[in-house]
Amino acid sequence: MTTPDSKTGASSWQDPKDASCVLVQNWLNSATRDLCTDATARIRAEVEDHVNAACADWQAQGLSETDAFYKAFDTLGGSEAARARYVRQNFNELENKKIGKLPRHAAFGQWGAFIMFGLGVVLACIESSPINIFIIIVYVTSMAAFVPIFGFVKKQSGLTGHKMQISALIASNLITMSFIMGLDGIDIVAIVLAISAISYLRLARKLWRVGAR
Amino acid sequence: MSHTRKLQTQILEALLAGPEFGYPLAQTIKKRTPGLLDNQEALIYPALHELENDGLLISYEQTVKGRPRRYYKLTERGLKHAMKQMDTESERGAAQQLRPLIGNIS
Repeated sequence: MTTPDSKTGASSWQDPKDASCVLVQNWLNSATRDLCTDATARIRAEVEDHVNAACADWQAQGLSETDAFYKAFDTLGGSEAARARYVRQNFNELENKKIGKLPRHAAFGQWGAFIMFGLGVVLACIESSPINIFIIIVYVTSMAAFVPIFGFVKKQSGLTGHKMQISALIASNLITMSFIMGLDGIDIVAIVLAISAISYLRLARKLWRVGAR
Repeated sequence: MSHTRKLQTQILEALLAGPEFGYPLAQTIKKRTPGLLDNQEALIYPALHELENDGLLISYEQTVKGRPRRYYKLTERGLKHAMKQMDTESERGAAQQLRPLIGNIS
């Protein structure tokens, strides 16, 4: 092992050619496996700083650089135990991609629900023979009220950003699903929407836990 | 109380002394509660992240010796939470001290 760089505070374990560096990097790779880039970068920086500070501390207590490194590394603990906690607190790459697409999907979901509502009106008109004017009035009024009601609920919920978008998307999925369920032959779409709603519910749970978005 | 909750309680109490980064926080907690972070110091970071997500802490980066270092400090909500926690603990401690006396009276 070489001596620590006094200017940057870098120890030899940060030298990629050093075996101790490989140990730390393997630990970090295992602890941050599948996590999104932002979370990985933050965890790496924090853990590397931790090891650095611990090495300096043990050296100040009289240990050699090599012994200080191994002591610091041992006290870090297992990478799998750390990973289990990191996964709860951070998004993985797939979840991060889904969150990135939320604004577009939420807008599409709302228009999808609106269009399905329109389809419901058309079908109700076709199926009611003779045409029941009362049903048509109810449908057209509800359809006209759909957008402002959605806007009102959004505002009243107090949600913003991704939390609002995912709530709107789940609601749209469920609304669209309820319209489709009445239409013969395309029940499979309702099943797909139900699965999609469940996957978004899981993401919403994580979004609420991780928060701050 | 679960391990995570215990750890978070200790973090909040340790941060009452002022902003700090992960390593010294872990050492303070190890001194105050032996066994909680022994040979698992890395677990302090997910606990810190959770407290930050809950709005009890905020973090900021500072460059130390040319390297970024992330410090954590209590938010106003975190401060209230930590103070309340301390009060509950001292009440519990007082109750434990009084229990033998109450037992003797009854």
